[in-house]
Amino acid sequence: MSLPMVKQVIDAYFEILDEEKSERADIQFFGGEPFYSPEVVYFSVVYARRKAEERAMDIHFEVTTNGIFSADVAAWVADHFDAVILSLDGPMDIQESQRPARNGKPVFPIVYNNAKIISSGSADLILRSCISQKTARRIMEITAWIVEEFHPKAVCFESVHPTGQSKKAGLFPPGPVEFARQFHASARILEAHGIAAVHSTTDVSICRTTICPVGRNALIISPDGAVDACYLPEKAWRDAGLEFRLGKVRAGKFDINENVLQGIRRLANGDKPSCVNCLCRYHCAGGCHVRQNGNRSIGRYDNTCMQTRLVTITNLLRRLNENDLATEWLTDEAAMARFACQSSDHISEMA
Amino acid sequence: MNDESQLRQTTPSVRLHTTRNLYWVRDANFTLVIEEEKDVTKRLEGDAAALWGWLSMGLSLSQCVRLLSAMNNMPSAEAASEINQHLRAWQEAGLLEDGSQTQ
Ligand code: SF4
Ligand code: SF4
Repeated sequence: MSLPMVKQVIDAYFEILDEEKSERADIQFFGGEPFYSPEVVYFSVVYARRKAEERAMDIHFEVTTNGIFSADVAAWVADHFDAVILSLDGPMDIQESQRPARNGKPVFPIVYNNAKIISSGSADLILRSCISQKTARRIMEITAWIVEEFHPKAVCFESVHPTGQSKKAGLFPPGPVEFARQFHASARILEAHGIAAVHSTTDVSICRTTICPVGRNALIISPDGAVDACYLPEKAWRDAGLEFRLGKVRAGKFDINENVLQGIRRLANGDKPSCVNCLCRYHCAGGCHVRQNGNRSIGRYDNTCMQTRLVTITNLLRRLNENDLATEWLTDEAAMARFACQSSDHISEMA
Repeated sequence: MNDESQLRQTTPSVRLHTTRNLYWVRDANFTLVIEEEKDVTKRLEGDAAALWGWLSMGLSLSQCVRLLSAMNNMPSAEAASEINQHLRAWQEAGLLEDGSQTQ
């Protein structure tokens, strides 16, 4: 993104905030990798903060990054960001096998070092560990290592999303039962250390109708000035039959297509037909609008659904302080399978 | 901290670097620079704080010129001259020194 475009986007955003008499601005950087265009990040942070200061407005910066940059940049990030979501799958052998650098050189030492720097700064460090079939059994080891080394604000465990590339690399999603067991055990350790355990579709502390920016009036700006509702590239949501192009940045303003905006709000605010009988429908809310197949018939669950359902139950039990019950339930594979596949969670319809 | 390309220099380049006993603390809105040995403390705000941050991340002078000129809608030459003024002031305050005079 060019600097003039960055300026236009930030100006347009603050114009909306002014109109709404908003007291807080939120800017997130993600990619690809935002630090592949470092000037854009350096410029945006200083420029947007200046605009917020002029208005005595709070501003919140967040970045999702692979952490491959110099230690000086890491120190700057730690001081200038409120939250840093860093992809760190685990100790060296895991990180290097799941995220090898293109040039074949080890990148783990850089990421590790930067995670240390960021964890000692004022930014909230959120570590995101991508779990594959191979690493599912090592979640406890990953957890202990993270607690010991970084003590972050939160740890987010997400399953590998199967793509052509991940399959080629031999990375497959973990089984739902294994993941649920390991996540629960890990969450107990993390929570005992005051660290939040996060899994995006199973947050039972809130009720919601969408898990992501889609439908929340977030504006996702591409380098060419396109304004979308979703992080994924255009082709991904078009292939799923969705229209997420909200508009374009034109002459320093967001030119938003009102019909598309309303369509997205409707999509994110309605129950997905295939989710109406699922107890997760106000937490998972149907999952990713693009990747999760919303055309499943009611009561039919894919592996992602089953994982969500199992983790949600254990999260609920932990919230009720029923840790032992959760642990016991997780040893009863038949009970887990029964629940994971149960076509309706309505009490009146349970067998 | 020098880059001939933007500055149309009439004097030879100097390589400025921070002194050995220099520390800085960044807050969201300002940067506090402390030269322990010389007992100098400087509070940087606005363009000066931004420039300190960019230079401390290893940005070249021409990159800083580009960023400052975009930030303030000013021509590159004006941004370069503002940057030079900051660098001179920091050098005079004893925060930076000419690399050619140290080992
Ligand atoms: S059916 Fe699947 S996608 Fe829908 S709410 Fe339940 S777990 Fe989520
Ligand atoms: S639709 Fe899916 S990919 Fe797009 S923002 Fe939401 S969760 Fe992310």
